[in-house]
Amino acid sequence: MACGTLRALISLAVVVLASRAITLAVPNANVEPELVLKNVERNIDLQSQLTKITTKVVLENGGKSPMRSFLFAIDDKQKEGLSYIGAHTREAGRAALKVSKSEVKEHPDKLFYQIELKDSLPPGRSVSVEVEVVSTHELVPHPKEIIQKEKQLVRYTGNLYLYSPYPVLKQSTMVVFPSRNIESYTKIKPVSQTESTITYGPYDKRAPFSSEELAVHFENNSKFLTVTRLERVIEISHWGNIAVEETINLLHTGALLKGSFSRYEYARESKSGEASVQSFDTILPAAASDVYYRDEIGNISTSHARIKKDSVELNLRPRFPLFGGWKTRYTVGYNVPSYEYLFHSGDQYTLEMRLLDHVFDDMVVDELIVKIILPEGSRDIELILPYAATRLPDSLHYTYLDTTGRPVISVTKKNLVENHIQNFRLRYTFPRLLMLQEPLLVAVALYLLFLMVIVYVRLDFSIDKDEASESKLRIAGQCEKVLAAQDRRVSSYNDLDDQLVYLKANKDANAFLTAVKSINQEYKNATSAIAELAQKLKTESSDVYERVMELQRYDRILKDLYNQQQTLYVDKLIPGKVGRQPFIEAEAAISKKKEECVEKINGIVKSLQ
Amino acid sequence: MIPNKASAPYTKKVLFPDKKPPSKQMKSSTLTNAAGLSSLITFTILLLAWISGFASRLFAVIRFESIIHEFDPWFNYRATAYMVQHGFYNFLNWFDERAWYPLGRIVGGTVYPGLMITSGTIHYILHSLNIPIHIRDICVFLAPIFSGLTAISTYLLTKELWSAGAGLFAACFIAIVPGYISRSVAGSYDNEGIAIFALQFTYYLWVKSVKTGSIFWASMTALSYFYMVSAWGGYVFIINLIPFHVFALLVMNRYSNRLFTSYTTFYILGLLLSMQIPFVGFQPIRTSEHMAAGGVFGLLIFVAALRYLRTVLTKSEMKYFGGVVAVTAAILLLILIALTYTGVVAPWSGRFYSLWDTGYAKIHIPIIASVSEHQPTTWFSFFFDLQILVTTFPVGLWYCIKHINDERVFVILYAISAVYFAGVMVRLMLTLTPVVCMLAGVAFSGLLELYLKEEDRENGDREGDGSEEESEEERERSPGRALYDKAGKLRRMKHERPKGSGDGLGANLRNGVVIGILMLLMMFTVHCTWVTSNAYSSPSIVLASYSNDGGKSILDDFREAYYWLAQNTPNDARVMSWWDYGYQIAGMANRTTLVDNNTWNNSHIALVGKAMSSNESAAYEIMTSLDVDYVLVIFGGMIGYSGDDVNKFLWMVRIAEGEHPHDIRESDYFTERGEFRVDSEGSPTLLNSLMYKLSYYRFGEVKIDYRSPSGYDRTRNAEIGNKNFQLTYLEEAYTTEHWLVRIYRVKKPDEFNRPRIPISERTITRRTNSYISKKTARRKKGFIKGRPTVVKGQKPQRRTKN
Amino acid sequence: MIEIESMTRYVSPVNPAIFPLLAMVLLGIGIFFTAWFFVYEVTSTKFTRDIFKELLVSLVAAIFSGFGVLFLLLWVGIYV
Repeated sequence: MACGTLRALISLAVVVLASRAITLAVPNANVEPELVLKNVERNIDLQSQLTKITTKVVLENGGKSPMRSFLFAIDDKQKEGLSYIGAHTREAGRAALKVSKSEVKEHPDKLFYQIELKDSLPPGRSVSVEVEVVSTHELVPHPKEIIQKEKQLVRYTGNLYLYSPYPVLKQSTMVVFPSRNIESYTKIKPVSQTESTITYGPYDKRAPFSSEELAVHFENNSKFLTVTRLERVIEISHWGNIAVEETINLLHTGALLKGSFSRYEYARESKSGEASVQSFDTILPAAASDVYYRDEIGNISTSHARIKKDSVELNLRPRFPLFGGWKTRYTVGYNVPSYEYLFHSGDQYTLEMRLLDHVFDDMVVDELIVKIILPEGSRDIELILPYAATRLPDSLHYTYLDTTGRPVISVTKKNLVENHIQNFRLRYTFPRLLMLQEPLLVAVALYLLFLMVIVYVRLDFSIDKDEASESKLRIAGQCEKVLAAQDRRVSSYNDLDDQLVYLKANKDANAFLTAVKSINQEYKNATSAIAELAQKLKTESSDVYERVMELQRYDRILKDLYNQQQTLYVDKLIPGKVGRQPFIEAEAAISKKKEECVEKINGIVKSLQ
Repeated sequence: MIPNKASAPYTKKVLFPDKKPPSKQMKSSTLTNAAGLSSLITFTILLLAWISGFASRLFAVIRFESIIHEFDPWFNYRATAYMVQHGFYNFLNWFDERAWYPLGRIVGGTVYPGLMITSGTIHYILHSLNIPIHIRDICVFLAPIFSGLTAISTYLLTKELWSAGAGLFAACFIAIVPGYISRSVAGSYDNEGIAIFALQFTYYLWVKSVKTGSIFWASMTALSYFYMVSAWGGYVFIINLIPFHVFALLVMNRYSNRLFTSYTTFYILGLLLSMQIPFVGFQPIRTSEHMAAGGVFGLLIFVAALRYLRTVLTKSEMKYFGGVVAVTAAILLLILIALTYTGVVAPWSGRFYSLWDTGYAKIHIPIIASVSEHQPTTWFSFFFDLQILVTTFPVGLWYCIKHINDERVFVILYAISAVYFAGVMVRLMLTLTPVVCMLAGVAFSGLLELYLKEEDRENGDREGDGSEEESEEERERSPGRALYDKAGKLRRMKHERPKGSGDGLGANLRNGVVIGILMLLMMFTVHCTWVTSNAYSSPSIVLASYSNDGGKSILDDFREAYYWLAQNTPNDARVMSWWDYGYQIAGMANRTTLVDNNTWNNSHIALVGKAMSSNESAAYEIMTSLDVDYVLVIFGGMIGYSGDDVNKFLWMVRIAEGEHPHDIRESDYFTERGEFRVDSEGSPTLLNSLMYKLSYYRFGEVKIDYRSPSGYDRTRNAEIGNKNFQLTYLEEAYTTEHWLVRIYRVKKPDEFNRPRIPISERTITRRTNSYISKKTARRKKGFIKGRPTVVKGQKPQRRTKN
Repeated sequence: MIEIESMTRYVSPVNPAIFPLLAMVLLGIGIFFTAWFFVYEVTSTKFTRDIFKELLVSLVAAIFSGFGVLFLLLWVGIYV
């Protein structure tokens, strides 16, 4: 009880605040005295936890001038729970009409909405308009507490007549219930009950703002679930993904559970716990993937997704069935590819997404908070909302590989229903080059790490200098360089070998000599490098120096042998100055000497390692 | 450029000039350098060991989700989350009023904070790098990550003790051995997860400091020991084993200045550092468990002094001095004993006694005995947890004994003491596992060294130049081996290979042995994976059941109940349950508990046990005195879950009997033939106890299938004995889908304290009160008459009324 | 401001289907160079070290690993 009052007070305060906030923008309007409502048909739909009142109005302009708009009043009782109001014409196409809040000087205490007609209404003509009003929390459980077995009964109190600033000539009201079990209802004749509907009227002319209490008490076992708070986070990545995460606080706002909960009865008796909610369906976009459903303590394993043609239907089962007064909290998240909702032209981007998405049918959302996280470096942000909502101050969000933070746009609104599932648009500018920032950030971090290693290996913390090992290392370093030069020499020999073989085959001396020229150049470079290094080594270690010199000596011999072989080929074989047998012998002799020489060199090389 | 490789192609190419040299050879020569290769291989193997160790611990995460397991981890997680949220100093001063109601718990002073600090630090670093990883995920993956560090420190330790090859084997073993995995799967967020790393690393540093005798290494040992003290109560093992090592070395006449430096440095620093942990406090100088370290410290100084004096004094003077030493030692011992008696030095704790006498706990401390992991180990579990290693580690031990040196003495002592403790308590299998891995590594490395090294030499002889490619294959086949042959291999020239094989091992024998060893290792891997997958990878708060067609269904009843508690009970509600579930309730439901897994207050636990074992009205008195709002019991009879409260019930009775021997007697709960039965033959005390009633409330109406009678308990395979009873002082608040967790609300006095009316009427009267006027009249009629409504054939109702 | 109707749908500059491939290839190259770098650091001595070679190898390693890490993140579902 106290809670209810509190909530009422809060929502009242919110309404007051909201209305004050908007006061400046609210245009003043007048009640046109010439307008009459020729016929009004109201349909009060009480099948769910919502009150959906559809009013079909036939307007007649009894004045002299054409009319562009008319006023629709909301009576005091309905003010609090009013969530959505919309209007459309009743002609084919059912074009939506613009509805805006307005004030009337004569009735400062009343709440009016101004509905603009599609075409102006000339005098004497009439037009038919349908107005839809959805309110929440108007069905009050009565009794307030029930035990598990009992059915849930609720009471609705409303106005039997249309609360209108204009006189109404003729009206009727139809109330639709979820079942035939109606405990009691206001009996103001003419009234008739058929199946699950009660029809009041038609009533004849009523004065403006006439009111008569309509009270019905009936069984309603539909889901009395309220989303007390819904936080929707949309995170955009320009790598082609939009991640959506919704954190939902649920409360069963039906009749409270009295006494104990019996699992036995709940499982065995189908009648038991009719008013409780075991599961519900959430409809996600068709492109949704990687859906998860969890809460603070982990995954909720009892859910499954059905993929349909135009949507993904997620059957969610809270961890426990929700009875009156029980609450739960969970998080649902999914990814959608960016091409579904993100558009661009150069560096200009526009995101078009739903501000509020479906949670379950006939849902009530008490408080909605939407946060849109844009990529780092987005600017010139402009938000276009489908309906009035409060924009919260922008903030920054830090996640993987962020430096300056991502801009976050936050919007909040209270008391929403399914009719509020509409698209918003968010425009921003993002230089595409900034996408390279993230990989480069990682690369730079890694490079710094490598640099640290490079610096680290150059640091020397030892207190005393070990001369012996220092010099050893230096010699080893020189030896390495000597050996590297020796390597180059070896490859020049190999090239020479190749060339000789080639020469033997095709006997082209000129080509051979040009090839040999460059090989010899390479060879000379290597040899002189070794000679240079040997000079350096002389001061360090005479032993190593000796060995290098020996290497040089043998190498010279080897080179001589190669020269001999070359002479043998070029001067004797090609001109044909030598016979086959002597040639083979000569070549074998050279080969043998070469092999001996190589063996020696190998020995020295090995000792240098 | 590095030369050794280049010389080989040189020879070849000169002799076979038509063979084109591969041009890449030069470039890659850096990688094939001896030092480079060995460090690359070592690094790769350790990395792979880390990765495979990490991966094999992820079964639970993959099968279920990233979730904290079991019981104690939930407390650690909760404490970590608290620390991350409120900061370190607030954590140290944290008084947890949600535990041990109405006593509360000073968490900061009763917890080893190392674990929380470790994950808190990781969390802090990641978040300062803008990596928004939830603290839960850090906690879940902490143990697998630390298993890699354990592998590395095991490698280092074994390398110090034996060789790098043995170290690599040991690292690979410890990465996947079930004995260690059992405590370090993802989600098992417990002290042991990081403590084994700290243990191994401390030992490594200790061995290193004994080897070098450097103050630096000894101080590092003390620091690492400090980390260990902050992480796990098992630090007592270190502070006894290291002195033991020193003592053994002294006895073996292996005293050295290195030993003196390292132990004195380690002991003083370690002592001071360990006393900085609030939970440890002054224990290191006041309890018997720590006295050995101090004694050895004194002894070492004596020995050092003696040795010094020997260089100064003559022999006859020494004799005289020896007497002085003996007398001083005797006096010190007497003082210690006196201090123990006067209570300045605490005697050994009960848990410590139970290490020497396995029957001790059962008689004196039932609460210790009631924990399954405190039972003596069976032979089966040795094999189950270590498989082939348990048979090979004696070989390694033998190698160590044969080639004894200072640090091998350490590993021998480590092995012997760990084997003993592992035999006493299943839980201490954990401390045995690392040393088994190390010694098995030594054994395998010794074997392969013998059988592979020789073969390689022969190979080279026979196949000549082909050996290069051959060895590449062999290296892949067995990672440890590459280290042995690499040194000789790469420098060998064609013309100077050793001729002929020395010993008479035939190639067939060699191949056979090598293949056999490889088979063993392969089977070991298979076994490890199988054990990990089947035995150690269940989160235990989420159960999985498999249907006949292989489909998996998840029983999430625990979380269902805890989340219900979290969402739909008042924030300050007090929940009574057996202590096993205390941490989980605190962690997941965030509600006040009476007792939890900390088990520091035996009498409080006994009180809860007494409430569970008494009948409803006696229990109600206890429950009101403890301000209990909800009672939570685990009931497995519906789905056949054996770890439920009825099966644990006898421990509750025993613990309650220990404190309240006049009210609770264990024998009352057995049948005359000494059986514990829940069916109609069960003892009436049992059938009327609160635990029984809460477990089986309305279960008597349930028919599970057509063959069995209603109220058939699938866990105990019996039809329950007490079926149709009502609860007076409690009401069912919530029961999970599979009845695994049942939560009852304790009624307030005004809810039941009125004339007793039969149930059938009571519901009617309640409804009457609320709104339907017609029925009120009828009820009033019955009431005005002022006498009991007598209904035919309902005697019991009338009796209850009176 | 350009209206949404005249804009084109935004797709990722890199097809998400090749994220795994890119991650593996780039990381593979990155790891190779990293290994080379570290082996070089381990084997070279004070006198044989070549600072330019070190810087070059580590730069290549860093760039490849950096991009590899990015695609690895994208592959596992962390859309940065």
